[in-house]
Amino acid sequence: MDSITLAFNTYFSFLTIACLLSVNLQSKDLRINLLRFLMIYTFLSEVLAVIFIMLFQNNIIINNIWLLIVPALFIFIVSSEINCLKKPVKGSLSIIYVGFAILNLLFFEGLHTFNAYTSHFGVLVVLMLVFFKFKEYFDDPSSDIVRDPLFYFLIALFFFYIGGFLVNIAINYLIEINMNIAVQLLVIRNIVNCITYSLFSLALIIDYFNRKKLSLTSAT
Amino acid sequence: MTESGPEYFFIIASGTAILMLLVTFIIAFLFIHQRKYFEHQRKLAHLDAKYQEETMKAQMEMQEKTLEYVGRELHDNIGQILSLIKLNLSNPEPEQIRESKGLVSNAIKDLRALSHRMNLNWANEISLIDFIESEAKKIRNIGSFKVYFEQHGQLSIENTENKVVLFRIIQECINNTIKHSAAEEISFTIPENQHLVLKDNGKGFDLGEVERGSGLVNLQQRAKVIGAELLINSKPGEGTRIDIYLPQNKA
Repeated sequence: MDSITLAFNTYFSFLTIACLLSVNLQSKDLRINLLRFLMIYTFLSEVLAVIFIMLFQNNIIINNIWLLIVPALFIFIVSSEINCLKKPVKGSLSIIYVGFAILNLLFFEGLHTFNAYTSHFGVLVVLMLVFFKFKEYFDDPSSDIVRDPLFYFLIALFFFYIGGFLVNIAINYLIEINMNIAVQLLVIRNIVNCITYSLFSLALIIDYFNRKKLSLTSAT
Repeated sequence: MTESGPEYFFIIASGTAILMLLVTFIIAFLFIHQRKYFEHQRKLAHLDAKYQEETMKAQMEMQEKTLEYVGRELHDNIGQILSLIKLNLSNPEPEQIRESKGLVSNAIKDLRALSHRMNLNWANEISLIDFIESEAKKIRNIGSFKVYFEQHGQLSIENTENKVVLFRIIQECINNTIKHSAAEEISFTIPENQHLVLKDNGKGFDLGEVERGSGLVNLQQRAKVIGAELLINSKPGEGTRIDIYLPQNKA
């Protein structure tokens, strides 16, 4: 087994665990439920992507549809938690992203080419929101971030988008110089994915224990 | 596929370095924030202790005043009656004995009245406005808040037990502000008769996220019991405003 296959299999194991946790750990919190949906959806997308590769030698369509839905939900979850943004801004960010992604999908890069513009636009918006929220956390010493599931969700996004962004840039650059090394970078991408889905799972587990603690406190 | 060569090692090294940089950023962030969090918790505990101390001091003062009042009553009223009885009994004529009986009845009546007054005496003694002013003074004495008091109307409540409940509601609101709001300014305003506004410029909270059965719901229920209405208005980042509408007095 070469290093890329090993890294992909490891990532797939992490994603499966995250998906199983998402199915089992129910919550009343909308953002946690969205996160659960995202993990299940990502798992199913990855499975479908493998089937597409086997059948059509290409899974770009699955990637592009994932790019249309998932970052929009990330933007929705994070922006709804940022106090300094006004309500119309919070509501419109996801809509703008989806609008941009649909336009790109239909008129610019198309369904059969990887939507790099959409991906980079999503990276910029999500990272901007993540930094906004980090700033809010930093300015508010009363928040107990260690017990806040959103904090782990933010770290996951931070790794996923900064890591993914840098890896994408490096791949695009290296494709011109040395294709073999460019392909090897997928290993790093899968490591970043492992970190991301572990942190998403951690967010779910922390939310579960917070609710358990709350129900115990209410009972007493 | 070639997995060697300087480019490959350069990529691996820079990837690891960037990953380490990101991890360091998160650890540093967490470390600094936790330090600030514990410092904040310590400050809150200190503020709470100081407020409790001020409350204790006020209670002691009230107790001293009550004891002084009891001492005065015993000396000036009951003491005088007992002296008279003693005088009467030194010459036990039927007339004096009858008079002494009357004096003993008076003494018993006065003692009962004193004991009854003692139970809710402190609440009777202090007016609502004075109580709010004394609470404002207590918070000012802590030294961490700017406290404002403004009065354009009067506050009154009929029954003493209801007054005590209202005192406790106001104290709990203040306690919540000190503990959770991270405010710099707290204001007590009486904009019109029977209307009290407690306002802070703290971090506020999302009312939708407050769980049922929490302290705020409890406050509203207690206000309802005494016929008052308590409205809470708060938004994240915009402070908190609590309006207490007391029942209108029957004319």
